[in-house]
Amino acid sequence: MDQRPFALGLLVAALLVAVLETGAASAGSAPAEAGAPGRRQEARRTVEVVMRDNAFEPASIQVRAGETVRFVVGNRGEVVHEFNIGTPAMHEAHRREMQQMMEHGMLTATGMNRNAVHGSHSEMAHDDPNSVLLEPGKSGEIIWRFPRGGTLEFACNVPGHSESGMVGRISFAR
Amino acid sequence: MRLVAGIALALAATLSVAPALAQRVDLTLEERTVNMNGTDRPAVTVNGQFPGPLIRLREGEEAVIRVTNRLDRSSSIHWHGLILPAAMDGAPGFSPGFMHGIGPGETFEYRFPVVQSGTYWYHAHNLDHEQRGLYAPIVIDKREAEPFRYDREHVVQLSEWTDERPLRVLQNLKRDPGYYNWNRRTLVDLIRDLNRAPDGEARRAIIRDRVDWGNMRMDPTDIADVTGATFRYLVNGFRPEAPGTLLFRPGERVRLRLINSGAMTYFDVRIPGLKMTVVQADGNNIQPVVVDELRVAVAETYDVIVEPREDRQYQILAEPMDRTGWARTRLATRMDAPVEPLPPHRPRPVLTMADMMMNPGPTGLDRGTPLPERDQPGHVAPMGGMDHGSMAGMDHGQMQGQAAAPAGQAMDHAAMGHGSMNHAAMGHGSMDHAAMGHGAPAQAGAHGPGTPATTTAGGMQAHAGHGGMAMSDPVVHDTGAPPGARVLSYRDLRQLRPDPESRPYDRIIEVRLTGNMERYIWSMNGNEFWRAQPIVARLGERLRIRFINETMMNHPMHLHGMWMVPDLGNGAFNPRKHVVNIKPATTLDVDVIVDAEGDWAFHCHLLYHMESGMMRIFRVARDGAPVASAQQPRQAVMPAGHNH
Amino acid sequence: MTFEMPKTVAAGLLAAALSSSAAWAQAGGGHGAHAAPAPTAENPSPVQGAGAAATPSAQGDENQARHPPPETYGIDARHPPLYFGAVLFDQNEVRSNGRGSPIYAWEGSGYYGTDYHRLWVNTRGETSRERGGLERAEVQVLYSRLLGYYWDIQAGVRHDFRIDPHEGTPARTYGAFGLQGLAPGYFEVQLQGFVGGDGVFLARAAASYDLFITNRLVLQPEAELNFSTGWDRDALIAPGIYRTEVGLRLRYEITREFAPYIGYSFESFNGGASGLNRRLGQKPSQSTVVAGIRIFF
Repeated sequence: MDQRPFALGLLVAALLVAVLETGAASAGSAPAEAGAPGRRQEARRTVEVVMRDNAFEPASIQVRAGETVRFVVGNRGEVVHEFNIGTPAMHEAHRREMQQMMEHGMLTATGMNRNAVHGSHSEMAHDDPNSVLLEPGKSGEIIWRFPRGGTLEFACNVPGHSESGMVGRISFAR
Repeated sequence: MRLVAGIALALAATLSVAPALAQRVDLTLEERTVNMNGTDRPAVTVNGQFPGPLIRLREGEEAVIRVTNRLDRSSSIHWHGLILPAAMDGAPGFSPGFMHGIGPGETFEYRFPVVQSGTYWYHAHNLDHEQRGLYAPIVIDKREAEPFRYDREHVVQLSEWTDERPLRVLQNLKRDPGYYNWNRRTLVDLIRDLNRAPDGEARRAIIRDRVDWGNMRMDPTDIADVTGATFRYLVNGFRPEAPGTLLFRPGERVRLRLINSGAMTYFDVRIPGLKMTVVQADGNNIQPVVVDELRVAVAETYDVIVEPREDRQYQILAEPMDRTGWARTRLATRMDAPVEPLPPHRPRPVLTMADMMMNPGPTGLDRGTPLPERDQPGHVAPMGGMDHGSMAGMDHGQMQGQAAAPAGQAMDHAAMGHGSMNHAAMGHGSMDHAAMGHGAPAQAGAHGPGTPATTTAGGMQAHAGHGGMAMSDPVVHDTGAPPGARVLSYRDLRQLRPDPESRPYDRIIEVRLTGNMERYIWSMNGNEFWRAQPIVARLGERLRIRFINETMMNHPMHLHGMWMVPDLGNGAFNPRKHVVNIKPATTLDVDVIVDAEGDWAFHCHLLYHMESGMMRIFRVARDGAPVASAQQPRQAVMPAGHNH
Repeated sequence: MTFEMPKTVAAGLLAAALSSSAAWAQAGGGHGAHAAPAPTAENPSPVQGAGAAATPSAQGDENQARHPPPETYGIDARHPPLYFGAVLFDQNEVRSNGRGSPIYAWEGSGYYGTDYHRLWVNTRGETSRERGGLERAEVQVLYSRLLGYYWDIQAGVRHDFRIDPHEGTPARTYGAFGLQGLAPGYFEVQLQGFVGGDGVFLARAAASYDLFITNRLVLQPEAELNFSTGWDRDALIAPGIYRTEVGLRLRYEITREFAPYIGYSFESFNGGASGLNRRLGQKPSQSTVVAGIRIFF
């Protein structure tokens, strides 16, 4: 009986580690593939991104090679959404993690379940520099320095969202 | 001055309420020959098409559909899943002004505002015409943007065809309920199973199982009443040998609108090589779920999005639950793609003792009828045969008791999760809704004795086996999917947004699904339609129906005119459905948002069950209005004293 | 046994059964076949003037002609219960004991009615080995009513035909009642009692089982016992178990309707009845090989 919360805690901890590690890994590998966190003063351009229930506005984004962009992201839907910049493979990996988080109650339709991740770590559960997870009505921002090229997408990896169309291409202007 | 303002207001109100445009559609019902199996047979066509033509409507407009009957008998069209006035529902004998349906040579004009969007279908509301082809898709475009994106869409309408007259099929079932079952367990099977058994204990168990089923006088292979022995399974009217082609370009996002228009067949749908993202169930948006397979109960619809990336053919396989045939179509990049072979069938399921392990929950609740009802003879199987070896002395009460504990645990856990969910910052009340959803089962305890939480799908999550014997989960389907494959369950269905109508139910009534497998009698609460009273609901209430399936068959229960909300433990996110499947020997609580006055049909959508009597009038009356009417069968007005 | 039931009573019983069945059908249909009730007054169409106005009026009996119902009624509230019937000739066979000419024998039943109430006819008989014509023939006409999940209760008349004034059995008419259904283990069971004739009480118990070797190859063992409380010498009936029949038939169901079979049948007159048979110069027991076609439609 008493083991259940304990086991859940362990599971949550394990998942957290997994999420954090992947986050770190993706952040680490980002310069090569997806880019890297940018500095505010380098950002010459601000792109506003509106997240509705299972769609992005705009549906695609164009950047210049090596450009640093500030994204101001608002969730105008009624369920939780994520704005995440990465390669299709990074998204794929992240989707699996989010799926597990959902299955274990850490992530609900409307937000992160902070109690399920035992408070202290909750803020860290989803703070990869290439993504922002927003509850309905919230907004956030990402400053991102893009690489010189590559195949990049922005996506919401909440289970089912990118599959139903909440994903867009990042194209590089010449 | 005030008057003018009043007029202006009224005008504005009218303008905003009146649908802007009218969609005009003309349909003609006609008998024409089709040839599915080498013999010309009379089909019922709409505008000369089999199945009928797709009707495309737009949310917010008014639909004006004129139906002309060129058949030699009265017919009807019912708009399955559409929310509309009772008079436009197209159910002969129920819908006011539509008592006889549409007579030969007559034209009926349906006119109703289109207040929803999604995938639906229409069909004749009688077995004969529907089984012979009078069914077709309805697609309603949403006024705003859909909460998902796609580049292309296709309708995948599943159905069956039989060369026999539907009435003949029904008579065959009445004469011999196993008439179409050529997959009974045989002596040869028994010898094979005994040979494969690893030890004496296993062999004894096999024999015991045979004896148990014999003693129960039930057939564990009775998965479908009507099988591939007479049915050809179709997709959009095409046989599996010559499938239709749904075109795509690699990389496109394709929306498939799956409609099960079969009269009797549950289909397990999969697309080898593709994941399906389910975005709608019964026309309502849900939080997208990515699955490998789903079972589509009769008359349900699901919208899925797939992303075929390769320039090749993808087979859309729909295997009937009893594995006696195939329905299939394909996604292909060109029309002349060669037809690929069908895979081998999945193993045919057999019912197990767990499927027979009735978990009735507390029975004897209100039935919602004006007078008490008594079961007709022969509608409830004697379950004496259930107390035997394989149950190892676990009586039902004990089972329930055991199940109750973990289920309660699950509930507590869920409640904890929601309760501690701190969404203060969100401020849109979704948490309140969730809390209410969970409050509801607790309230059920106040209505009846026992522990309803054990019976609801919401509480079943932690039901796992006790003493090796688990009651069957009311919403999980075993499709025979390979390990790791994800199969859709009702529990995955969560409305995209919290249901604004979500609140605790006002009242609970019991609907037992009853019948006689040996006689092919089907009924609700032990009374066939023609001797049953209506179920009476009050306008504005939220009525909880506790479905208790006392039979061995699945029953896809359909309510006209109003949404049903199965309690799946998802609180305010429980989905709205027009068909809710009730698995054998399970109990499921389903709330009805009673918001449409009138007489509505409420029935099992297995057409041969419906035809055999598994149907009721669902009468919605204003508070205080008299509930009896001329329509009430005379027998129902029996003297009181049938109390039990 | 003063338990006599004159023919008239039996006939009356049957008539009553039939008429009650019809009356029930009427009541069950709510308002008779299709005399339609008017649409409910409290549920007027919310879309006044639109569809409702275009609707052909649904009032009164003339609609019956204008609206012939579909073959199946669907959710029509005036739906009467379905009437249907079936005929099964479980035994429809030639029997041979290896000597002399083979005989033809049949045993069948048929019914017509609803789920609950049926008019039921049982018939059986065989030809004579010596004379070629009929040797025995029996017809039962019964009213059958669903009693429970697996059982029907039946009552009516049985008539044994008079075959030959000199050698065959005389005509007999009995009041018949019985129970028929499926016993645990999937045994088809028929228990019948007969009163009348010469004042004796007769009982018959029969059971059979379908053993599915494959889904089409079915082995059917069956057994029947006949019991009497007294003598009816002309009809070859003696007190106690006076006649037994055991059979084993292997059929192949080409379709449900049509299944050829072969098998073995053993008939025996027992106790005092064997003596009655010997007196007629007949062997009291017979083993025969049978071949026939089971018919179900």
